[in-house]
Amino acid sequence: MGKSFMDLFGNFMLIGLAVLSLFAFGVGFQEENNVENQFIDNSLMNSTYGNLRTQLGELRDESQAQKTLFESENPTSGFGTILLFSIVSSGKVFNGMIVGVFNTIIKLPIVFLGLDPIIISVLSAILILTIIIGLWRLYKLGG
Amino acid sequence: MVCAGLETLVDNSITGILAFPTSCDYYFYAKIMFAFFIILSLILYQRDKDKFLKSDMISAMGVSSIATIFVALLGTFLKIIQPDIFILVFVIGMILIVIWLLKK
Repeated sequence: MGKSFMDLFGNFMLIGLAVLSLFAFGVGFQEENNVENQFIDNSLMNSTYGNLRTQLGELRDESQAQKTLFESENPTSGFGTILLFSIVSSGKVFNGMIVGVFNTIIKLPIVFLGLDPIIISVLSAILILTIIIGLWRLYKLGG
Repeated sequence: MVCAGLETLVDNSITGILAFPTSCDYYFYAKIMFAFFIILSLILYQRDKDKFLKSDMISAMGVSSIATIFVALLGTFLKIIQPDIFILVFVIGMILIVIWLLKK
């Protein structure tokens, strides 16, 4: 629970990148060596790889859009602080990315290992609560 | 479990001989991969313990799972590991890597 939103976001993006690298290496290796029955022929593996590529690929544009929004805002002074409402928009966008990466990756163990939905439910609850608390701290203290 | 003898082996190439055990036990190479993973994890754990006095099993398992995935990938190239066994190795390895990165 003590994790900041920035740490959580960094961790999840690194996880997404690590999993994407493994996928890319595997796909590249099998394609270059003309392996029969490639693992990417499996529809779920294929869709997971595609979704990860899309989500991480969109990161740059989303970050740029949030940066522009942040720069365009005129700060107003509050009680002992400066108010910037664009941070709420950043929080919403980036928390969606964390949940997106989590949902993409978690599908694989559910299908291939037959993971119990209760475990997924508990893990999702922990993640969502951590995100909410992280976001609240971000909005309240700015970091 | 009664398995067919080597006299039934048709493909005498290295790949054929390596693939022969899977005709008897479909999960033969999955078990080999599991053994490889356990041995590598324990070696890394012990090496870290000797080197730094403090060791982390999750890190050792995370690094070992990357190596296991690569070895399994090599197995698919040699046609001794079927795609569904590779997917199993990949998914289990991925979970360990995710836990390792989350812990960091």
